Amino acid sequence: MKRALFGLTLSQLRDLTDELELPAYAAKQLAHWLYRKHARTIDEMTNLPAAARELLSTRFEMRIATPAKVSASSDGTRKYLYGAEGASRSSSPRYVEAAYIPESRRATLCLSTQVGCKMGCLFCMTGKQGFQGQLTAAEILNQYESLPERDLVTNLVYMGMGEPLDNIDPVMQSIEILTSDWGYGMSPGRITVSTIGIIPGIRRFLNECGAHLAVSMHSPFEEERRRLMPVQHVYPLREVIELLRESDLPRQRRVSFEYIVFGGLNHSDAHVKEIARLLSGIRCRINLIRFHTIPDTPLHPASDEQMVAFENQLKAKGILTTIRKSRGQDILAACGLLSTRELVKPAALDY
Amino acid sequence: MPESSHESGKETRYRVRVESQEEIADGVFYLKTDRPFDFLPGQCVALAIRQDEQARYYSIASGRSETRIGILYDLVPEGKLTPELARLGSGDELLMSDPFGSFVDGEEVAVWIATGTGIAPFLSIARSLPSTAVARTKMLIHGSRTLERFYFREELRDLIQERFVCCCSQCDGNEADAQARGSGFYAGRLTEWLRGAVAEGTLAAGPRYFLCGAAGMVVEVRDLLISAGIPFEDILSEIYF
Repeated sequence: MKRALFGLTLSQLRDLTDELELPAYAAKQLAHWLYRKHARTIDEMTNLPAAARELLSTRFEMRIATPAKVSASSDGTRKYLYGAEGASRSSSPRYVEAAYIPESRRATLCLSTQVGCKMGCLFCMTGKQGFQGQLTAAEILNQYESLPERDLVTNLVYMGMGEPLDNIDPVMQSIEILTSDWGYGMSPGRITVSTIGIIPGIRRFLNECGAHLAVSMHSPFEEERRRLMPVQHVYPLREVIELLRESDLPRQRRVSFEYIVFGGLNHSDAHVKEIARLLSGIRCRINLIRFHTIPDTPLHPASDEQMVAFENQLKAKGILTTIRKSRGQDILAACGLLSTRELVKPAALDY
Repeated sequence: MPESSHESGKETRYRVRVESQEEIADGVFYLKTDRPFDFLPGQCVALAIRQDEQARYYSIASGRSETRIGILYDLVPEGKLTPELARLGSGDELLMSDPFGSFVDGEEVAVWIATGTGIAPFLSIARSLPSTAVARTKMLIHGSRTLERFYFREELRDLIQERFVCCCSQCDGNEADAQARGSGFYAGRLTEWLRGAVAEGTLAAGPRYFLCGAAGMVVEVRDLLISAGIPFEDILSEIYF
């Protein structure tokens, strides 16, 4: 079986050129064709000798996949569905989503990192698929590379399906390719990785790259958060915040907390006070997110008035707070909705 | 001497010695080591063989009064730790963190639901509480594919008595017939049994529900319980990841 070229780092490309006994400089040429000139075939790499291209073609293929489906929202958001055959644990096809979200002065692409998710958050549609596999670095990057609007994208957020820091090696590899001079050459300040708080992953992420970090909070109270997010049993929020407090992050590196506001549940005065206490001394912001209801959930969206009141209370405590715009609701924008509907059947569960 | 590794997020500061290891079912092992600390039944530890590798998390399966730490685990052939862990024998050493986690239960009325090796925290709690309290307040529903995968079944039957239900999804006809003669055996999927129990009123709002196992099971069972009217505040989940 041929190996994939797309998704390899410069170091891996050097190993490849060594293996094929090609000149050392060919690795950089390959990276340039892959990530700057967006080649789709090995034959396009015309500054490589014909014999080298032929040799490469016998053992490698590009493996860049176009989207299997696209849905367009009236607000301009477009959701792309990609096959993830490499991650499939069964013969059934598996899919991941990428959402392209254009705004007046920027355009964001939301990337998936896993097929399904292991984390089992109560409010999340992706979790209902169970966990079906990890995406490779190539499959993560393919969502950007093969996007029709790729050249319009200004920001990348790892906030699609899956927990990025539960798939840390491919995620870090993809960020290396995105931010290296030999890769896409993107500023790390244009990339945000979102996590529910996997502490070892956060530690490595902070040490090894300069991208922004977003942490899902959703409740500052241990007991309440445990019921919303089982990960709290293992990685309590206070330990995540301690780690961030100990980390000496440069000013240009942003830490934000994501907070879905559930009607009648997590926006009381007590929540405001506890959030302010927890975040004291940390340079960060809070993004308030409207909850888009999912099937069989006991949770409810907060009203606009509740959202604004909560925002104002947090601001009054000196916390930089914004309410995120909801986008693409008419195309099943909530994470995982589109791909879950596309599943032929749920993961093979037998217990 | 304490050693340190922060790779896992949990410091594996104890070098413990293996006392014994047994393959109790195909690819499932029960490991016993020194016990360097006290713990709350239901808590986890991080394990590693070497300092420079990422530790993995496992629930403690032994009781609080036992002199050894017991770990029940599945061999994951492509995994980074368990193939090597499975080769350890008496006298070998490994690294262990302090206990951590808040998936703990006391003597209140509770329903425990587990699949496979997700039984481990409940085993620890059942072994630690007074036996009269376990028999009086706990119900355990364990789902597995085959009979051999109901680990420590006899011990759990003694502790929990008639409120211990084994749901066997792949038992063949003979096994099912033989087991069905005894109480507490169900030949079918755990979720099928739960739906029946909800319909009959065996399971209802009131007790706390503790779920432990793979993500798919936990999410499916949690949805099932919520749709049966059990408040989500009363459902606690531990997912193996």
